[in-house]
Amino acid sequence: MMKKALLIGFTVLFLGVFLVIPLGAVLAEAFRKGAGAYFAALQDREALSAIGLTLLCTAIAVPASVIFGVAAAWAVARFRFPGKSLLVTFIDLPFAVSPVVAGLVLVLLFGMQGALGPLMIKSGIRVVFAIPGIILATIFVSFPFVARELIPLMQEQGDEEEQAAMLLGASGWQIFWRVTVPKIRWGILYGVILCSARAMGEFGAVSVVSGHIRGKTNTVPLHVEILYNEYNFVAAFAVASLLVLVALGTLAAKSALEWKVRNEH
Amino acid sequence: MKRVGVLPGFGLTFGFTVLWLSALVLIPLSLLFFRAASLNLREFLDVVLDPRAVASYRVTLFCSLAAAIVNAIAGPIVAWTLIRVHFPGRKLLDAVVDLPFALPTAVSGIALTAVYAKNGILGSKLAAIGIPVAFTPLGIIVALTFIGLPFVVRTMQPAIEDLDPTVEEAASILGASKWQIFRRIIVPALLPSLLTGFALAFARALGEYGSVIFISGNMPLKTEVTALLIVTKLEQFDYAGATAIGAVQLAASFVLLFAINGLQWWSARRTEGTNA
Amino acid sequence: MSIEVRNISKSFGSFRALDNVSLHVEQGELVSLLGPSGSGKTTLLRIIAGLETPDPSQASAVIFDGENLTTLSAKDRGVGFVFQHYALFRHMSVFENIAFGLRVRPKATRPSDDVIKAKVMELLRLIQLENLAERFPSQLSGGQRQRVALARALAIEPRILLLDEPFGALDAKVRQGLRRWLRRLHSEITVTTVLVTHDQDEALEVSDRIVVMNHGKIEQMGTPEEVFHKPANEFVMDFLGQVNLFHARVEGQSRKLMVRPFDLDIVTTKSSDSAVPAKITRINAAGSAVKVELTSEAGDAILVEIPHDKHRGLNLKVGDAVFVSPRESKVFFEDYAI
Repeated sequence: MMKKALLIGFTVLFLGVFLVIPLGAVLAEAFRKGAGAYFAALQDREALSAIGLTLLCTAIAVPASVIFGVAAAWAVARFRFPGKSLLVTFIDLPFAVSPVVAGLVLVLLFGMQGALGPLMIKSGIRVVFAIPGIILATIFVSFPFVARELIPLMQEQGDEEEQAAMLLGASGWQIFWRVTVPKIRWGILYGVILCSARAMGEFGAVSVVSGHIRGKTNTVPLHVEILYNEYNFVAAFAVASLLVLVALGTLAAKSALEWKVRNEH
Repeated sequence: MKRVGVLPGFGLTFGFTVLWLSALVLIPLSLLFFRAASLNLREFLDVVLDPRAVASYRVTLFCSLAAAIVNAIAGPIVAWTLIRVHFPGRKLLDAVVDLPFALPTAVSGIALTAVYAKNGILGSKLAAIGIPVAFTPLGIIVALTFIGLPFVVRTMQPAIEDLDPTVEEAASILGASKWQIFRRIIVPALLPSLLTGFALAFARALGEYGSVIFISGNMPLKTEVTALLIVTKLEQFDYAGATAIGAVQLAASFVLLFAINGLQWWSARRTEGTNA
Repeated sequence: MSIEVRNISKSFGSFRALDNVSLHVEQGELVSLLGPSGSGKTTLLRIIAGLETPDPSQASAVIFDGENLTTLSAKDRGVGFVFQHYALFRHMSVFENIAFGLRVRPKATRPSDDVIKAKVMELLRLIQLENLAERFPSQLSGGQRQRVALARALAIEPRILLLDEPFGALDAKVRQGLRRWLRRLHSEITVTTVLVTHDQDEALEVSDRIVVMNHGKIEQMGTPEEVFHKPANEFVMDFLGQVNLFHARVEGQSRKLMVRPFDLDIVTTKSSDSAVPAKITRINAAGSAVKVELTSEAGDAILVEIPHDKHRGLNLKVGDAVFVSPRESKVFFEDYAI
């Protein structure tokens, strides 16, 4: 009994100090000057533009993750070929690399002095310090989420149902849409939830390529940083509280989905 | 390419996957090494061995290691409690463990700073007893512990779930003491996942940027991490310097990635061995 | 539809799953591929279906009714296949599972919804599950899933039907019933059928012919009576039922004698030269025959099966010293190399 209380006490204290109290601090700071200041910070023109850009990045990065994830999982989980484990390791690379390095390589590739710099200047397309760079950085850090979810799932499910469908005369696309997609839809959704959270919250990689042009190339996390560095704490925490809501929503959706999948089996 | 499998779609999906990875990940990352290699050696070493850079490696390595160790001690206890001990609110706490994954790092950074700064709710009490947290290496360790915690807990939970309680019962029937059961049954079974979780947390900490820069104070030579040094160099348009240090950072990531893959391969082989 | 398999080999890495196998199945026959695990029987079945490709060779071919299908995709072979674990579509109802093969046809040949419905209902009647059409696979028992899998395979009116260990995952009781049901079904629809099994009783009961396989090769082909009573070699004899093994000198040569338990008799007096003295160690009178376990003077364990009335007449007890002698001359001789 003593031991049990000790374990619970430690866990509650540790998770409380490291996870729960900081979360509460965001809300406390955000409302320090009252609800009026809080909502004023959210309705600020630059805040709204940052929200718009973040939603745009997420709207592009999530489908990219889904398409890549499904293709990669189909290749990896349905076939045997040499170099497979190397391929899986490469899929994990964006998670192993520092986000700052991810941003750096985009600058080296698309910057004015970068490998494709002359091409960029000639064509008049700006990538670095512009929206395309931010989108690319977001895709880079978030695309493996769906693949990482689907590869083990499809390996575990096996491909007998697909083989059965093929023997019944189904074409490749019919097999995919009618048999595989219904089997993996919750896995895709799970990956989409994690991918969205990362896409909306990415900071390091986006920070390097953004150039921090207010009202133009600022995402929500970058906007938080700027406000914070200007000592505009109430506004910084107010905008941050939006991201806290997104994070809590992510956790809730994730838990609900885990619960649903567990109860289906 | 010789492939084994009867379903259609290999060419399309494999080709797309390889093309995507090459364009987005492999070619850009190799470009970084290529650029670093094209610096002359003298120049490269000057940047990489500059005292400020070396100090940043030291801070990054030391704080990452310390945070990973804290997580390697607290993580197993948290994971064990969340799996084996039943109490009200357990599910909620379990969900909260993923918070560092879900919360944007910048938000984590300012939140931790608000809590641990001298006027913060915990920071004020700690400062009063002579332990300042924010703007010291300790602050960096707090931030890195925060972001590393889910790696250890989430890696260990399946291993704890897989522990067969009947094995512990069998051991106790055979006359093993609680300590012997812990030492000879539980520790060996959980060690691979603990090491993997530790390595994952350590790897993540080495490259961490967002959650660190607010709480660290970013004093060169003292509390400046390598990731921040790269950003600083980029902001000063010192592309050669950023490239050189970026290459060092990336090389460290690769080494850890292969170490982690090796660990996972080793632990998979070990569990297969015990099941057979 | 007849099936002809010619000179098929298949290797997985260094493992040779099939070694130059040839086989012919007549129109309307039900043939079992029987063998231990790793004998290559499932691989052969999957090659016939087009789920595996044989090792490339000029001589190898899979031919249905004279049409060479070796390079044709599994999708276009028109084969009905029942997987060991059924592989039912878990997110579709029983009805939709059975209708799948009709629904995925190209528009030009796809039947109308009414025709599909009628066809599925007919199959549901055939498998006696009319009232479970809206259930999902997870709500069915193993035997019911098995029958749905069979109906799904039959819905496309397959040219041939292939069954991979169809009863392998079921209880002994359910198996018995399904075996007889399959036999009846086959005489009704007479589709050429190949069935894979490792259970000799199953093969002996349902098949027109049995193909006994071991180590990627065919050991013997024949009717159940042939393979059971005239086994071609020691492996087939051993695999198709319990045997007693004796070492003896016949005509001055060392020989291995294999005798089935019911081909041995127990006598109380030494009746002939071939009678062997032995001591009874256990008697089990439960079952269709009485099983008597004995130990010979040489220390060999011997199993004898005698009818109940004979057992009552002899009044045997554990510990009795008796003689065991081969009944009739159905003794299997095998060269015994030293």
